[in-house]
Amino acid sequence: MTAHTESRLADNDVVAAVVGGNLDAFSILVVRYEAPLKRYLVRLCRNTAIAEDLSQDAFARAFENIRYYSRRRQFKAWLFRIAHNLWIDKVRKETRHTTPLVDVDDIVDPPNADAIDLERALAAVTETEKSVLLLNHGCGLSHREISYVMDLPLGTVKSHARRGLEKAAKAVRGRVE
Amino acid sequence: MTNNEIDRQERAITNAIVNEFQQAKSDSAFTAKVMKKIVATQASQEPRRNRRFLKPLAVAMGAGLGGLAALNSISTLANELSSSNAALYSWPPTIDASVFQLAAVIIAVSAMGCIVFSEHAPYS
Repeated sequence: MTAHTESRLADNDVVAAVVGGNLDAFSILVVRYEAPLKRYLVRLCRNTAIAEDLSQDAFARAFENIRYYSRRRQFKAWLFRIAHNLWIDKVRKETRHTTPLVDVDDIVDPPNADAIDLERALAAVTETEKSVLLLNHGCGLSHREISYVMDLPLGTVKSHARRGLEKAAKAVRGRVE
Repeated sequence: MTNNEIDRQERAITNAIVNEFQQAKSDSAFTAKVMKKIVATQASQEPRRNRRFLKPLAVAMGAGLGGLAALNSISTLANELSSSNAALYSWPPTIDASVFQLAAVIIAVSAMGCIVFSEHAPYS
């Protein structure tokens, strides 16, 4: 497979190649979704090392279970669902052991003066609202796909998206005013 | 604050999220790490996958042996009942204790084998 054909292959074709025994084909999917997945997890965990580990685990788990992937879903949504569940497991485990997940040194770089303070805006919303906003605007998933990723009813996702955006805007306003 | 201003701020937030994700770059070292992990996981799971039949086999063997022992005991009991006139008119029938002992030993060994294999045979 050349780099050119690799970039043109649809996710389902790549998955079919992987299921057919072409292990290397999976690297196409890793390259394709690594950046948004890691960025999503960094924003959730606020710790780059944990986000990197979770991203690796998510890809590894996706590979292990690729035979069970249904072509009716988007591979991207399926992968993000795995990653999201891994993150939830991690949070539950950390809560049980009362170890703080946030590593202050690893928090995403603060924005410059002209840019909107995304850190502050996202700090004002709940974890669920943050996930919805990031998956929707950052990862380009539809509300329906987010409802699959987060295992929430579609209406709930829509109201989280609306409320989250309002809260984030209000937090930014509070800083400007 | 007007609705337009609120809309503008909400758009600014969504744009900031979009920009942040667009700026995220893929890292070839990460891909290499993931592929290495996958290969290692696959290699470690291969022997487990090959041994996966052991538990059902152990359970089937245990159940089979247990069933045979039970059948043997029943048939022995039936033979004793039919061959012994005294047994026809008395309960419990007079059966050689060794028959019960043998059946008990067979059932116990089968059950133990079943339990031991079930505990040790990997099945995921």
